[in-house]
Amino acid sequence: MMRNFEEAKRTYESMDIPEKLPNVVDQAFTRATARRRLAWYKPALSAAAAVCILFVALLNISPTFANAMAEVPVLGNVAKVLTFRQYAIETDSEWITVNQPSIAGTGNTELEKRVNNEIQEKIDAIVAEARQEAKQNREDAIARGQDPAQLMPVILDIRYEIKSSSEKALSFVIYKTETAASAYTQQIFYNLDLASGKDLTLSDVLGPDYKQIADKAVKDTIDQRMAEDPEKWPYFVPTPEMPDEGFQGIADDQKFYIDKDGNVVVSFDEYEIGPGSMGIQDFVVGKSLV
Amino acid sequence: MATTQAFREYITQNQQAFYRLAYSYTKNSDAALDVVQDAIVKGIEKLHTLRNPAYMKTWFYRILVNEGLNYLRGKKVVSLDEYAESPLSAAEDRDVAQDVDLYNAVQRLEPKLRTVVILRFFEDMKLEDIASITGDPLSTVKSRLYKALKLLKVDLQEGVMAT
Repeated sequence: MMRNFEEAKRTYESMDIPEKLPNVVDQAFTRATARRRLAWYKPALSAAAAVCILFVALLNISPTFANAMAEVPVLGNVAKVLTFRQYAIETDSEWITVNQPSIAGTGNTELEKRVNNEIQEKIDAIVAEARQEAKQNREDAIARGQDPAQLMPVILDIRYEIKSSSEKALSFVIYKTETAASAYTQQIFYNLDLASGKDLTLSDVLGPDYKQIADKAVKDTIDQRMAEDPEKWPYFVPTPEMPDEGFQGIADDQKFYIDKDGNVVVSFDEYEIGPGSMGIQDFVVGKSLV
Repeated sequence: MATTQAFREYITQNQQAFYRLAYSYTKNSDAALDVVQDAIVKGIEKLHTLRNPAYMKTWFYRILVNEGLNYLRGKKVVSLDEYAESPLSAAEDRDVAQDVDLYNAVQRLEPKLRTVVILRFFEDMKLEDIASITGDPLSTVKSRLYKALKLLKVDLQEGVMAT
């Protein structure tokens, strides 16, 4: 009898495990966090059954900027990143919050116009897409005979963060976090050369050998971390089946920013080089030449 | 009180075992993933009620087993596959005689008996722990196990003799 159970146990333990199990587990933690957040806001939301767009502030100096200013020694003609628009859209199928930045005080109105229009277009497109998705989810639920109010809403959060600000350059990021079945954050970086009004490239900030410099720095850090503690740093690695998994060198349009100490930091969105649970991965690759 | 970090570590390390148990109820991969996910979400929400982290295992298995049994209760259409060989008996003494293979026989036991057998023999748990997972008195767990073993043993022998 017991011998039989040993064999049965082996059969049980050799059950096929779906590859997406780790993702499903990660999603559970995201779902719970989102639900907790919703529950916390619930009393304030309950009255907002219909679409309700709040224009909280049109132009409002952000606290992030105030903090950044305190650390910038030269208070001359320093570019500012301001909250241009802040609004929320809340229905039972979508919960969208937007903190839209704009730049000012650069002394270059052409640059400001270009960047601010670009940000506006990007954010409007992202919000429109999320609202379309929420509408679709709602219609699908009704078609299936479900109560759409039971659906988890599409949660979109757009916010920004100033990475560094000097007389020469301005570096900031716009985060887009969408939570449906799972949360997923993407980053849009702006690195502006205030004198020329152009976007800085990695070549501008690291020199002509930027690719070798960045590749080596990222690879060395990943190798070192994985050697120290592979469970803490479960970066994707190439396998025979998936030879292009993991870090394969920086991309032509590699995301990066300049931090407040003047370091060039290359950044990878969730899932780019490791599981989503690792979050955004940043690597300092060298000092900025700008 | 247990921390979310400790809970996440425990869950991540044991996710495959959770999946196997969930699948033993659902017999369907996607449904099993749903059961696991729902159990984890409930776990996170109720984590503050777990006073002693030492009981995390039995505490979480209790949530998982409940989710699995709820899934079976809530399922309106019984899958043909699961009940094909004994279409009439969903009762505790469901006939598992057709299964020569002990593993398959276990998977065809009535869900409450199946739970006890899987936790005892496949997950190597103590009967007291199983009792706190299922929320039943120890005597009930013992009698279920006895019943299951009898069914499995008898059925196996009959199955062997029939072929």
